[in-house]
Amino acid sequence: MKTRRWVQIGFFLFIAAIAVNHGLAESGGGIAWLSNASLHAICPFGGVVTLYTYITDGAMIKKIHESSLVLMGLVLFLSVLVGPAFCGWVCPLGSIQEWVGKLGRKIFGKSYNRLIPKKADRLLGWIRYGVLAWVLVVTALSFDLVFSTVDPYFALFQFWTGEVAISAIIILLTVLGLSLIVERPWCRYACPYGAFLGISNKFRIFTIRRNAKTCVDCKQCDSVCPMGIEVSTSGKVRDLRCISCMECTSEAACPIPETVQLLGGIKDEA
Amino acid sequence: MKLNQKSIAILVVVILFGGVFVSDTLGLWKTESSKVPVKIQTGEFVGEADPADIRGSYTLSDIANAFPISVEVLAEAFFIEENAAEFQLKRLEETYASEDDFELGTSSVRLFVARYTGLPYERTGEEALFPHTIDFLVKEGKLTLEEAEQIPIMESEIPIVYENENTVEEEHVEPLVKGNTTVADLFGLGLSEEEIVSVIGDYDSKGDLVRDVCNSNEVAFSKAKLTLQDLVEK
Ligand code: SF4
Ligand code: SF4
Repeated sequence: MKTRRWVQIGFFLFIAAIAVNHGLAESGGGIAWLSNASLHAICPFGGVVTLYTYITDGAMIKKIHESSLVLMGLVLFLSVLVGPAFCGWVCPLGSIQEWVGKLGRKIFGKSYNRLIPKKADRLLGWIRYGVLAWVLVVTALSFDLVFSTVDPYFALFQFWTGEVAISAIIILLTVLGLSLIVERPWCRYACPYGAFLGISNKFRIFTIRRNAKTCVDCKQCDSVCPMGIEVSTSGKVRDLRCISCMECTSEAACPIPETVQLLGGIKDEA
Repeated sequence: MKLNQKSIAILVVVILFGGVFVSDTLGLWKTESSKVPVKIQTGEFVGEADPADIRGSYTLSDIANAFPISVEVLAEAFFIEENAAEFQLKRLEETYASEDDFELGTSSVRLFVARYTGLPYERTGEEALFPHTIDFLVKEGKLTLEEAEQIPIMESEIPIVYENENTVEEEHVEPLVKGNTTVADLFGLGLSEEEIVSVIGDYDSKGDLVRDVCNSNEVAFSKAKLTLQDLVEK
């Protein structure tokens, strides 16, 4: 199995274990050596939504803790280096959509991922910036974690508790259902955190680059990209949706060695 | 320089776990709520801590840190006799019960802090205070007689049970329905579905907190818990 799969599974189980442990600890049980932090405390997006209140007021939005700010900083640092690797390697919601997508690929074969035309797919991708703006503004105005009422990530790890809003569960189920026909629908069209991290693709230090001189135009890189990016026509991939998953590289999909790679430095675009 | 999948995996793990470890060592890794209320945004008191943002998880010393009020004044106002600095507000609601549409809880503390410090606070109408607390505010010139008359009075002055203390004051009866009681617990106490719904209204899941169900159905929790207690003891 690929390194990325192991890392994704590891983080998924780790976060699930913390979520379960939090519930157990609240009722007096739990495993002492494992963190029993609440899910809000270990979510780096919490750091983003609380930033405005933190800077202007020195206060945190209800339910968000300082640990979220620390994680936000670490994920940002990682993104500046290699892009939104958080999305491609860590985020359990991204991972589960991919896993459900594998099933979808088996069921629908060639028609998988073809439902939405390329142009519409690109345009729909801008919705997530609308969601990001909405979350930031309403959180700053209400001092409340409004996003949790629609957050499928929170629903994924808390669905068994009374804390989850029905709306969040409905969104989670819709996202998982859609994942059977489109790869990572939440990440592509709705995720405000993915939108935020995606900005790093414009200036990240290590970038996916395609060497046009050795490329045989087989488009393997396009067909494996979980975010629908056309790597085969890019020199440097600066697309806001890239999640640094490395699926398109010569190490994984591209059949020609050293043609699609993650490279640093200021080498000219091919 | 070229990076492969393995290097990304190592970078991800080292940056995230290493960063958490370093921040923990530096005392920056806090997974508990910060106890700093938001600041007032507009008007004469802009920039001051907002009493409306005092939360149930705050202790009396958190309040004393954020507002110009001492732990002693708060402890006296709310009958907290021991270990007052560490007393968490949410335990007020678990301790004092009222049969009316008001309760003595976090909102009462918000009202008291606001009137004591002179900071603005819009009443919701459910904030009860003890008679001696209202008298104290009036005597100190922090409350007009007119407003004092509008504040619901909490007559039952049941002593508080302290954490780490196994002995309970003689006349105190531990309430069956508390802040952390769930709908499932009510079934466990022998109540029927009809009885539960008739008191707290419809609920989504048995794991819901009774308090949350009451809030979303606009039923006074303080009243509901007494009615439920009566039903259990019937
Ligand atoms: S886009 Fe959002 S849901 Fe998708 S992987 Fe990134 S953070 Fe997770
Ligand atoms: S361009 Fe490559 S690294 Fe970026 S998301 Fe697509 S497959 Fe992953």
